[in-house]
Amino acid sequence: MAAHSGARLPPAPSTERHGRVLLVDASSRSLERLAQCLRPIAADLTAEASLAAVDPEGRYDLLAVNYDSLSPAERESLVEMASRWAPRPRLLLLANGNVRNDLPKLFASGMLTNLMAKNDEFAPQDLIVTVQKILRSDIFGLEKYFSWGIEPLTFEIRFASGKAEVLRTTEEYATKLGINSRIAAHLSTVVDEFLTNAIFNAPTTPEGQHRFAHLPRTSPVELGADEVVTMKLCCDGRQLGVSVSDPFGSLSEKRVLDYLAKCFRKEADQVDRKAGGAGLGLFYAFDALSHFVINIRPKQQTEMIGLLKLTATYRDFAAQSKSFNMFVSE
Amino acid sequence: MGMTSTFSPEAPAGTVHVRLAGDITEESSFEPILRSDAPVVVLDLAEVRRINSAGVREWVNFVAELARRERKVTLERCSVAVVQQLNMVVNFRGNADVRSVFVPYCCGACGAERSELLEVVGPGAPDVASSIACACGGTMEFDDLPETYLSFLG
Repeated sequence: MAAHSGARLPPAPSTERHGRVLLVDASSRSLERLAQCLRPIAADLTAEASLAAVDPEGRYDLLAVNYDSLSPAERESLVEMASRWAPRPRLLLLANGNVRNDLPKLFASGMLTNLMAKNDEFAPQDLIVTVQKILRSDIFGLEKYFSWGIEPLTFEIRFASGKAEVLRTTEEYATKLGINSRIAAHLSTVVDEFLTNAIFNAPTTPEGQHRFAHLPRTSPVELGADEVVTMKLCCDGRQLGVSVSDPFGSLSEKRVLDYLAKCFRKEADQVDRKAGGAGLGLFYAFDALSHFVINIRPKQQTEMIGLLKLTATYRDFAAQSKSFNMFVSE
Repeated sequence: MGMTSTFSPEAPAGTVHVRLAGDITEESSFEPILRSDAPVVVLDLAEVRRINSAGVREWVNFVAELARRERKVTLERCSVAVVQQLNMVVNFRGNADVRSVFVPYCCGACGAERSELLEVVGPGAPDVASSIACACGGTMEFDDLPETYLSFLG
């Protein structure tokens, strides 16, 4: 393990490890807990109690920060500091629900691609999956978020008109699970938005021009046999998951962050007036989900994953902070 | 479930009273309501179940057109799904007044869910009951975040 100005952490037991990770957390207890989770998977781990202590010449693959522990001044300087580094590390913020007020600014910065919910404490399993995806570039698959043995329902969709049937099946699935009706409605919202995005916004020509994005969402779009959209739906009693994958990979990181920033600003341009979609789909998915994941392999595949924590009441669901990840793999 | 619009035959002269039900989506059309030239429009939204992003744009264009025509618009008996949109989308309400909304409750004992109507007009913040009695004998608690559920009222 390389030496850095921060705490030098003992090497982990021998496993294949990837990447240089910098942890910043003012709470020593929390910092040690984070390190315990990440030490076995990072090739190089540095821990600091504040941003001021971070080596400005450091080169990291991932900067993981307990956002709640930062002072207002540190929050202001975080994005600016991370964006100065070359190459730019991926930024992962661990935060409770209070980060919501800062989301317009954070999304607009173009740096916030990973936000991890901290409800009292972070969830180690979610953190490890997220960091492994960042460091290893093995990003696709709903199954990564579920216990071994969970078999998802799989749907293949080629026609825009097929969305209604999939939505009916999704509602039946949620009804059979007996979950809170408003969480079930969130699942339908997410399926609706993910499918609309995959059928209308994702398809491109070989030259990269969007084929159907300008069309009204009532248009009878038909995808080719080799352009099938795949949806998976599963539940392990702890959470519900849905993924929608298209074979285009046309969504860009910048586009996602621009749309989220625009919608969270809640100004007059929140709803698009242009031909095509309303530009709210990503925002609706973010709002509806406990954890929203976007996986992109440019020009090959986009996969949107939505996870909903199952709680007895909607109030408990709404009180949880949210996670958001965007992974791009070449 | 597609959206349906039911016009009340008992609306007073000069008022069109419409009950909307189902899902507001890209398939939804508000043209039948816009065809009315009544200066007062009352929309009963109790049965609106879900609204997707494409439906929100149809709705926002609809309420903007009502405002352009200088209609006096009132939203009443807004379902929980509608309240959620009022809180999320800045132009959702347009120039409309919101008269009443449904407030969600859930029973901790039996899991039953129910919504209660709450008038939101008048001075001062409306008083949301934190709990109500459930038919099972248990208590139904307000099932949303008290600090944000009525945030659209400003």
